[in-house]
Amino acid sequence: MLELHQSWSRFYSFLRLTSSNYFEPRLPGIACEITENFVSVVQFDHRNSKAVDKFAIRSIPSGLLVPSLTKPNVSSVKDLVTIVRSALDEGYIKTSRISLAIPDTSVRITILSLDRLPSKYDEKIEFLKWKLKKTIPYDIEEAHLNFLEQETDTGQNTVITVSIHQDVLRKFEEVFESLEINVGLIMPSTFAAYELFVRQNQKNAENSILFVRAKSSSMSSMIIQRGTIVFYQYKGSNFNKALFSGIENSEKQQNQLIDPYEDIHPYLMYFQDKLKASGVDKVVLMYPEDLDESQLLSLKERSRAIVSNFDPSSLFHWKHSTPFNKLKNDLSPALGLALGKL
Amino acid sequence: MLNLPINLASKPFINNRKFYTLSLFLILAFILLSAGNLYFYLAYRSRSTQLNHNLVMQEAEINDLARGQEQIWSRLQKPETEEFLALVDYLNPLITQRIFSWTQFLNYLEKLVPYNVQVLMITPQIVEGEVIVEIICNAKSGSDYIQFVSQLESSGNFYGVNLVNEDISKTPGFIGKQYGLNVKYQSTKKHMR
Repeated sequence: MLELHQSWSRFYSFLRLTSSNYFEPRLPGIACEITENFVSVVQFDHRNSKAVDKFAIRSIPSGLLVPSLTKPNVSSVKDLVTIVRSALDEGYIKTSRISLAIPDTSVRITILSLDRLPSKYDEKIEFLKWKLKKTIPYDIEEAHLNFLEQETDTGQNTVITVSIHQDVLRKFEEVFESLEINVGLIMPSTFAAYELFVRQNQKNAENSILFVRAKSSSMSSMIIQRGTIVFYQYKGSNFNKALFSGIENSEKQQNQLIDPYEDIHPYLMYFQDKLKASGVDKVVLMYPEDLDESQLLSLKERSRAIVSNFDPSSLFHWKHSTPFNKLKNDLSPALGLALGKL
Repeated sequence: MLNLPINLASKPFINNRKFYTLSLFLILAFILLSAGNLYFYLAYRSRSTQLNHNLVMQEAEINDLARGQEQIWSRLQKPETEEFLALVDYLNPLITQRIFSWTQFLNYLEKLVPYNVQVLMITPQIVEGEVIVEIICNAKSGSDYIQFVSQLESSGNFYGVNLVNEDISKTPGFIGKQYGLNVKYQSTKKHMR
């Protein structure tokens, strides 16, 4: 009798999940990332869903896009439209639907620990607006807010909130409206890259993982504890620029070694002290250039965790002549969104 | 599908499958209902046609029968037929009277007539299938007559005894009264045949 009940429960869960997935919005296999430096576009093959069919990267002139929480990021929509159009043309990509990754700097991501949330969606939004009111540098009523409820293994509820000023969002959407393309999914670029990371690490869902995505001017860090994001931080101007000046001038300073330990150490400590966890099991680094084995080993010894470079290449089939490794940081967010079609 | 379903788009992608699925269900339901209605409509129409056909046939039959009836009536209303019917009416009671068993009747009556009662005349008549016998008798006293009537009624062969007239006996030498009575005779089928 008990077995029958369990079988029925499993079947019912499967049925619910299947029907829920069936009615979920279908995402396009085409995605774009807009950063302050470039626009990247990727398209998966229609027939072979895991093959990256087309891609293009176009640089953006300095000052055309300045990520900001409060001011419209795009100084000239017309110029950005031209660049996005040229990127689409370069990749021979034609579409009416696209997913978009925008700079982390343009949004405010907050993780709140809450006992409980109201049951109705509108009440939840009002409650979260009230909670975020003093943490956002603009009127919360002018924000577009989205959130995700999570439950940790200790039973605590955490809510990831992502807010963006309506004017900032409007400018990004205007770019694609001018191209008559519907942007139905907009996500911060780190979360978009995280989509790839999650797909790659589904087997490691029980571990505590520190995911670090570093760029020349900023760094975003996330701690995932048994599949739940428990920490997020974006670092802008305070980030270790000396490190990346070394990378940018790598030809001149090839002997200078990258050592991100100082960057990740505070997070490891925070995780142990504030979140009262035993320690991070794994550190995944998404740096402009991969760390070599000796660097990874050195980091592993000091952080007492497995340290690896972010390598999502196993998730799809790369058939282009340019090595994926050279493009992975530029394409990962767009790939993460485009892979959402599966 | 996204593992981190956070979306800032002001016009998110929508899945029309709910609409299509609902539409499909409604269309299927409409088709099924229409098919059902069509089936019932055709079945009832076929039955209606059959009934109308039967009605027409029966009306035609009624008309034929009515025509036949009229022909029979017209034939019956001819003068020669009327004479024949009158003859039939006359002969039928005679035939019935011919098959009346006097022996049996008199045997019954013999046992029922008291000593002081004399039967003068017996006239049987067949009226609507019943045998009505008019009996004229002399009785010395009223009690003798009453005894006669009682025995008739209790015999089981006679019923419905009615006194028709009562007078002084005209029979020479007989002192008493003369009674005329009608009595229904319960003749057996064997006798009637």
